[in-house]
Amino acid sequence: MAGAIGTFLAGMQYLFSNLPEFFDLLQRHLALVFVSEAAAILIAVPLGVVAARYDRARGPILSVGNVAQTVPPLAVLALAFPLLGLGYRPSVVALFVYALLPVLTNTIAGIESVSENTIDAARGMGMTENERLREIQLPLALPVIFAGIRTSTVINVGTAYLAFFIGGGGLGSWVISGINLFNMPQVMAGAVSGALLAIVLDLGLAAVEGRLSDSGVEMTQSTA
Amino acid sequence: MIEFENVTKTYPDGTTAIENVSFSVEAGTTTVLVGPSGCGKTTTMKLVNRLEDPTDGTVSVDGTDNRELDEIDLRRNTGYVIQEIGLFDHRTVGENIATVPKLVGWDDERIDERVRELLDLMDLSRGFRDQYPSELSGGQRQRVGVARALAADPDVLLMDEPFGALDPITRDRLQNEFLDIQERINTTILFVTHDIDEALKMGDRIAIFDVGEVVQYDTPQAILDDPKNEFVADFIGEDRSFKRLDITPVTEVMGPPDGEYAAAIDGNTDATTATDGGSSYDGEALSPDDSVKAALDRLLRSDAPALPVVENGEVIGVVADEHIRASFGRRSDARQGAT
Ligand SMILES: Nc1ncnc2c1ncn2[C@@H]1O[C@H](COP(=O)(O)OP(=O)(O)OP(=O)(O)O)[C@@H](O)[C@H]1O
Ligand SMILES: [Mg+2]
Repeated sequence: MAGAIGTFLAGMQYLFSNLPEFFDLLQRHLALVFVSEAAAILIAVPLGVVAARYDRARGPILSVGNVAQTVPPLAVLALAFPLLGLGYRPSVVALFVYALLPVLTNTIAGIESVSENTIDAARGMGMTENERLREIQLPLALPVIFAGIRTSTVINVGTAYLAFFIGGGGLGSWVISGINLFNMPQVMAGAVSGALLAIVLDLGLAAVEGRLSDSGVEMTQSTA
Repeated sequence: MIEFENVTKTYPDGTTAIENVSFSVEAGTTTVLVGPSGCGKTTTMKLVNRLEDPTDGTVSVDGTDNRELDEIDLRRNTGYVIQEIGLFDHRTVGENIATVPKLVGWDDERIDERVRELLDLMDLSRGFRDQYPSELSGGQRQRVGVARALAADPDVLLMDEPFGALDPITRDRLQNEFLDIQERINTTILFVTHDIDEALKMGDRIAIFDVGEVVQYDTPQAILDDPKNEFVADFIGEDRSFKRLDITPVTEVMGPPDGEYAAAIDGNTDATTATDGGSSYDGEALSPDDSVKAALDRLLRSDAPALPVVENGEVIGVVADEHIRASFGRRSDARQGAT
């Protein structure tokens, strides 16, 4: 116990004595996460809408998403390397692929959780299919979609450590090189700051969600 | 006007919900579909606004086969109270009610005014306007559902068990309210219920459904007088005469105001405070709107042998036991003799 606390304090000390480098790595880490996550959301939400609407599209879309998820993140990175080379961009692509599935499945689940009665009422009122999607299904699915985005983001923060392997930078530099050099304070500094980052992003997204859905709709479903 | 012509609906899974159904609802009148659960009432209703299309036969609205109409326009012009209410949980009560007016592009001011009007009409306090459906009771939600269907003054109104979740007192009040509204608006109404009393009360005409088919389509009076078969008779129940008393106005049985009862009612007509159900006993006069059932109730509780029917301070007739008996006891015989 005392050892753990000691390592933690040593880690914090390491962090504060290397602040400029820390901010550099953090900034890179954030850039990896934000860009890949934003792209994943932009692709997965519309894809989920299409999958929920057309039964035929649903199977193929889901299986692509599932395959992307079952490949270990390290392997996704390894695959990105021969195709796209080293550095920031291939890292973003790999993270993007890995972030897709939670958003996709939750978008589908969210849209499908809207009750048949509500849909019948909307149809009966004379809403077109697009109006129904925009005004009824998406707003009602929002909490579930957001839960998927939060999960995906938290996972993404963790996966982004591995980007270091293909030269993507980020907090992985400290953790992975720290392990290689057996520099525990460095590992600790990189790991703890990443964990804090995940928590902060999760809470931030929760706050955004709260503002977006100012309605009485409760969070009824969370991610699997 | 809505017309069903030999309509059959078979769902993709092979269930035939209705078979060879024909009836028509005159413009501005109310037709009630009544029958046991699963007999095809909701299906019939959904065929009108094309939530379902018939497998066979045609459904026409104002003379046009509704498959030739634009389904979006048709639906926006057809108020729909769905059986499960189906309010939009992410929208306030006000926004729910405003759904169709918004879709058809009313301006904000007009929508605002209409929402307030409908809240008043449905006896929902204006405070509900900004609440969400999850904060309302079942009965309140149901009333919001009716308000939402009425919002854009539709030509046709489909109401699928609109008062099902209400307590008897509120239901009775809303039924009466609705009968009033119905007189003021010129809407063609299709109303579904499985409560025969509600059907008799609300309908200009009633279609009695047995599994998938219409067994009798007639006025309430005719159905009570002459149920077509045992199923209908059973459905109406044992107390057929009471039901008839309830839907017959006193004006139909009363006798002339002179004659043998003139003395009995003399001096009894001033304190005229007749109200439904005889809750007021200051006077013993009846109003022309009172039912024969109310008249009988009043007679049973009164010392007088006969009660005057008073309209605008003037006695227009009298009702005594014998008028009721003459009209009800021997009526069907007399009719059969006449035809
Ligand atoms: N979408 C559907 N697919 C298949 N069968 C259906 C569908 N909707 C209704 N049915 C069937 O059609 C029949 C008539 O159903 P409908 O909902 O019209 O009855 P209902 O008279 O409204 O009953 P209730 O009084 O219980 O509301 C039932 O046997 C029902 O199971
Ligand atoms: Mg039904």
